[in-house]
Order: sequence, then C-alpha cells, then structure tokens
Amino acid sequence: MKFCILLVIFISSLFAQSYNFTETRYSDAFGQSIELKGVIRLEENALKINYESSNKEIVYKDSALVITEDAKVLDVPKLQAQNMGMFLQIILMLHSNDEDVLNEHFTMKQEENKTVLNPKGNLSQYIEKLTLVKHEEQLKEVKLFLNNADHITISIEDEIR
Amino acid sequence: MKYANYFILFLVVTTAFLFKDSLSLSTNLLSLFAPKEAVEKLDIATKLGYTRELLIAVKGFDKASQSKVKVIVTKLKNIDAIKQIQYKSSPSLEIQKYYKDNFLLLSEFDSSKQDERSVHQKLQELQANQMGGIFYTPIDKDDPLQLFTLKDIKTNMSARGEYITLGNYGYLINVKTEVSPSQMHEAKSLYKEIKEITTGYSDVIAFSGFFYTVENSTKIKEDVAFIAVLSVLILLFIYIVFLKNFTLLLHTLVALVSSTIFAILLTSLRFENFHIISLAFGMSITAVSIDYLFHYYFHGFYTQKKRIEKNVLYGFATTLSAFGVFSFIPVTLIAQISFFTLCSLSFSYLLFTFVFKGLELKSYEEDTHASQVKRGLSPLIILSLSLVLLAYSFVNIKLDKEIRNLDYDNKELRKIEKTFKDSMVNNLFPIIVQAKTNEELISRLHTLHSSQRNAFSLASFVMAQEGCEERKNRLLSYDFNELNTLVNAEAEKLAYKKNYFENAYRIKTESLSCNIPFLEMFKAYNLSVLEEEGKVYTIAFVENSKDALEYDFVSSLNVKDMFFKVSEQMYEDIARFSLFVIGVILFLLLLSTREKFFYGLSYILFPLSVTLAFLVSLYEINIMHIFAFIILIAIGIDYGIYMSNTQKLHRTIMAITYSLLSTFGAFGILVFSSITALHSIGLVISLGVASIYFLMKVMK
Repeated sequence: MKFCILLVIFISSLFAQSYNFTETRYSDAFGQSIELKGVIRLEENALKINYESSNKEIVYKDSALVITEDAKVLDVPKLQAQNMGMFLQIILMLHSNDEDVLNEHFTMKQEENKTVLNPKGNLSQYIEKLTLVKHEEQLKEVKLFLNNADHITISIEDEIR
Repeated sequence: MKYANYFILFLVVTTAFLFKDSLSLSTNLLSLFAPKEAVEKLDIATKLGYTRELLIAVKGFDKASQSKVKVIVTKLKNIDAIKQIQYKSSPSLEIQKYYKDNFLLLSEFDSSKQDERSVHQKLQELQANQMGGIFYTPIDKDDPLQLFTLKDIKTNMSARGEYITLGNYGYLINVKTEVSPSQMHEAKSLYKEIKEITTGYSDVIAFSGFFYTVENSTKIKEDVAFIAVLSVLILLFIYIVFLKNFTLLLHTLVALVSSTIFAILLTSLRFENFHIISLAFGMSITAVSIDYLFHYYFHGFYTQKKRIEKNVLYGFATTLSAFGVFSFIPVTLIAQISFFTLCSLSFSYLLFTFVFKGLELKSYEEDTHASQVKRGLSPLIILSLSLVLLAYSFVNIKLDKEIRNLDYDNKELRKIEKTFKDSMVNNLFPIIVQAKTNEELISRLHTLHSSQRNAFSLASFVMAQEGCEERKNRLLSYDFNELNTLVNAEAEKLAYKKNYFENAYRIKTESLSCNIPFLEMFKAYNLSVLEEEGKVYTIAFVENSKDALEYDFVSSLNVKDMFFKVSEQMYEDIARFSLFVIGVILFLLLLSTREKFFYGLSYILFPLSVTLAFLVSLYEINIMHIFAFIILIAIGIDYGIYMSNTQKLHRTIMAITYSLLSTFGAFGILVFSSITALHSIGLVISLGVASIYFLMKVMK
C-alpha cells in the first residue's frame, strides 16, 4: 500500500500538471488587496503562468524567465525580472518537494495545519516568511510575507486534467 | 691501466652518489624559455591567486545538473588544498553589507529638482503598477521616486537563477586552490583528488593551469623513458652486430655511461633548472661520440704507437668549438644541451683516445672480401645542388615563433581549455595593474575603465576618491528634507497610507564615507591586492589587452604575447651565434682539409640543404630544428674531415656508416617522440644522416 502511494506521488511529479489558481496581493502602501485568476502549469524544472485578465504569458524554465504577449517576447526590467524569478523559483522548489533544496533555502516548522518556512541567506532580504497549507498531501495555499509588509497569497484550486 | 675504464666509472658514480641531493630535473619546458619579466609577472599573478584557479563545469541547466553541482561541491569541501568554492552567484554577506552601507554613494543619483507634478506623476505610476499591474511590483519606501539607481556590475561571471554558469554550456564551479602550477608535488596530489571526483561523470569537465604541469610532466617522463629504452636497445643491437667484440662493447658502454654521468654532474651544478629534455638530448649526443671509437678501432689506432689521431682530433675540436660557443647562448635550453654535450664529448674523447689505448683491445680484422668503392659525382655538382636547395629553402622558409608548440601537445586538455574559453560570455583578458598605494591603484583602474567599457576590476565595485567626493558633495547639498515633505504630501493625495513614506530620503550624512573598503572581500571575483616591495598590484580583466598596455602602469599576463617577444629575441640570438659558429667551423675545416676544402664542405652543405628544403616544404621551422641543424653541421664536419684526409677509404666509410647508424639509434629515434622539441631534432638528424650516407656513396 505504501509503495502504491509513493508510486502515485512519483508519477504525479514526473508529468506536467496544470492548476487553476487565485492570486491575492495585499499592498501595504494602500491597505488594499487585488485578486487575479489564472492557470499555472508545473513541470519538473519549469512553469508557465497565464492570467485571465491578460494576454501575457510567463515562462520560467531552467532558471530563465521569458514573458511573451501575443507571441512577442517582452523586455522585462532587470529588477522586476529578478523579483519574479525569485518568486517563481520558490514555487518550483515547493512543487519539487525536494527536502534538500528546501532545507538549503529555508528553516521549516509545522504550525497547526500549515508549514512555516523562514528564508535563509539572500531570500531573507526580501521575504519574511512563507506559509504552506496542504490538504490530503496536495498543496492548497502558499502565502509569501514580504519584508515591505506586502503579502501575496496563491490559492491552488483544482488540477486541470 | 687495464681496469682504468671501470675505475673511472666507479669514481663518477661515487661522485654522483655524493651529490645526489643537488641533482634535480625540471619537466616544465616553458620555464626554460620564460623571460625574467614573464617569470616576475606570473609570480605576482600566482600570489594574487590568478593561476591557482580551478574551473569545473557541469553540462546543462536542468535539475540533474544542479544536483551534480551540489554533489561535486560536497566532495570538494573535503579536500584540504581547496581554499574557496563558489557555485552560486549571490555576493558574499560582506559584499552585501558593503553595498547596503554605501548604497547612496555607489548609486547613480538623479539630482534634478523635483516638484509637485513630477512627484505626483511618479507616485501615480507606482500606484497603477501595484494595484493594476499583472506583475507584482514592490514599492521602495526609502526611495519611491527611484532617484538612486545602482549600476549593473558587469562581472566576469554569468548566472542562471542562483547558480553561476559557463555561458550556455552549463553550471560552473569556481574553485580557489592553494596550488600553483610550479608546485609539482601538491599539484599532482590535488589533480588526483579532482579526477577521482569528476571521472564518474561523462558531462563534467575540469580545467586548471596546473593540469598541464601534471599531465605534461607525466607524458614527458613516459616519452623520455620510452625513447631512452628504445635508443639503448637499438644501440646495443648495432654494437653487438657490427663490433662483434664483447670486451670492446662492454668498455664502450662503460665509457658512455661514465661520460653521461660526468656531464649530468657538471650541467646540474652549472644550471639551476636542469631540464629532462636536456638530459634526454644530452644522452643521445653522448652516444654520437662512439664515432671516435669507430674511427680509432677500424683504423687500428689502439694497436699503433702514435698517441694522437689528427683527423679525430680535428673533428673533436670543431664539434667542441661549435658547442662551446653555443653554451654561452642566452637561450637556456640550447645552452644546457650545448654545455652537456661539451662535457660528455670531451670526457668520452679523452676516454676513447687515452684510456682505451691501455685496455689491450684486439685490433679489427679486415674483411678480405671488402668491396671496392665506386663513386661518381664531383663535389662541385654536389655543392651546386646544395646551393640551389638552400636558395629554395630561404625563399620558402617560415618560422614558428610560438614556443608553446615545442611542448608536449596535450590535445585533450587543450580541447577542454578551449571549451571553457569559448563558452565564457565575457571574453576578457587578464592584465596586471600596479600603483604605489591602494588609492592610486583604484584611481588607475578607473582610468583604465574609462577607455575599456566592459572592463572588470576592483573599480567595478569601488569608487575613485575624486568621483566619490564629488558625489558626496552633491548629496550633501541636496535638500532631502524638502523632498520628504513633498513626497508625503503627494502620497496623501493619492490615497497612500498615512506616513507610509515617513522615512523616505532621510539621508544619514555621517555615514557617507569615501574610505577605501577592505578589498579582500572581492576575492571571490578573482580580484585581490598584493603589496610587495612598496608597490601594490591587482589583476584587471579587459576586452583589449593591447590598448590597455599603452598605460605604463599595466603589464601583460598573456603568456603567448610574452613568449612571442622572447622567441623573436631567441631567433636573433640563434642567428648571431650560428653565424659565428659556422665561421669557426669553416675556418677549422679549411685548416684541416686545405686543398680538399670543397670536398669537406659538401658534407656540411649537402645534408643541411636537403634537410632544410624538405622541412620548409612541409613545416614551419622552430628553434629546435635550427639547433638540430647546428648538430648536423657538427656531425657532418667530422665526416668531411675523415673523408677528405682518409688513407684507407673503405675503412673510413665503414667507420662512418656505423657512426651514422649509431647517430640514428641515438638521435634519429627522437622522431618518434610526441614532444615537439625532441621530434624536431629527431626529424632533422634522421634526414641529415640519410643524406650524409647518400653523399658518402655517390661523391667522388
């Protein structure tokens, strides 16, 4: 039985998976939040994001970020690219569920129904902490608390098959 | 007297045993050619850590490649000789703190006057981006108007995510070691440990300068050992088959061994850096001295009463003069070989002439069926042909001025080195910059950067004193309090939270310092400072080293440039010495052959012209070819003298034939060497020996 569960997890991580998600951004500057909906496709070392309200597509593969709009590659300012790259890399790390990688970048602790990750090294300059909520071994919510008091919540809704 | 030969061997072996600690062999061929200036600069570069770098690249950018990088790094951490490992692009905490503390001075500052409209517009843009943009854009509470922008630092590294990369090849691990290419023992040990780590992966390559030292040294030793064994076997075969006199053979071998040891002793005392190639070459040339023995033996000198054989003495004196002159040449390898030859030939000449007389050797029994010699071509035809070939050669000659080509051609390692060089995104060349103080050094580096846009050095991180003071004054004279009030007032109008920008532009003027930071923190980028004898040095990386060298405070670190300069000087030295030696040889030839001068001259010009014409048709001529020509002349002159003055032509031809075979056994087999320096000599001597034999058979 244990073997079967492991096999299911292994197979699911090998193949690309697409999810509907809702991203809620809280801006401390205005004390307000905005909500965006989209689809995220996760692969072993790559991800692709499409937002409902935009034609832009974000592809992050092998640590390289490419943003396209109507098949045209957009020029992203370096600072913005660095920030986005960092967030997307974190999502990939979480998706990989690779304990070695996670331990390299975070200290982890369990608090009630969520896992709290405190970043080490460079990440700690921008991110205060992350919280993960899982339901039946599936990641349901990721919340990033930024050092500037903004926070971003990504709620994963359902897997698209 | 009968055992004098053995006694002499015993004496030289005992002396060698007593001096064994001072006998050491070098295998670094390039060190023999390195000019003083290059040695000093490379020494500084080594102290600055430049030549102690080791690069390991893992092909690809996928997760498996990242995992390999981590496994390799974990293993590398267990090696004592490794000082520092860098595989991630994030700067050290020390550098991060330096940037944080000096952010205001290191950033470009837009000091244009801000008013209500411009501030309002910028804050509105921020609002639109944050509340309506598809991508999250953080707001900088301290500098919402983005007046301070930190310039991108163009480092010598590229990166993907947090990992540093070798261009588009894959991930890169940059290792600082404690080993420099000149530390053979340490280099070998570290090389072995690195190979143990990387061997298991087909897509991992590693390179460091000391890899050449280790691999080439091993290959050169193997090559020289192979050549030595082959040479000994061929010579033994020739001596056994042709001399057919076991006592003579034994004494000859004893004499050759004594001469070699004697020459090794004197040469290693005379030269600090006695090279294994000089030894290999010297041993070969010692075997050539058997030419004296053959001449004595076949002409019955050992059973005659006369104490000196004039022809052999003339031959010896001419050879000795040539190598004597060359032992003073400022080209170390040639000076070493010439000095070794001088010692070994003199010692063997004395043994064969005086000691062998007392050995009570049986005289040579002539073969009664010896054929009569029939030859046709006159010396004038031979000389004319030689002159034509020489003219052809001089028209077509091309010189190879790349001294590195003389070394063992380590194709595999060169290929790996090329992969690293070709994959680098920034193709920058290292140079050394010097000054009297750190302040002057930084100022000079900035001068360099002003003419080399993509240069990378300490100036990429540290401001020049003048520029820093100017920026500091600009900051001090700007009214940041007024700006803070303006920003907060406009933010309120745009519905930002109250006091959100409370701390914007609160500049702490007391923290603005233009002192030079602790420069050692930039070591991870291969940038450090060396203080030596009242001067400070650093390495900078530039796009165009030729332009950079226009500054008098810049010196080249390009080994190719340095050796190119020295090779030009070497060719000049060789040409000068060769002309002098040829003059001496011709004079001695005239003295010893008199009316048969042109006959003797043919033995010099014919082999020289045939070999040279052959070589220029197929190769570029290197300095070892040229040196081998001098040896060929020295050999040719002996035979020229013997043939000109011979009373018993048949015996002389026989003596020369055996000598030529012996010369080929000793020298010619160098043609099988994979070290270009030895191969070049082997090729010239083999062709030369063949043409002398041909000449002996066809000239009247």
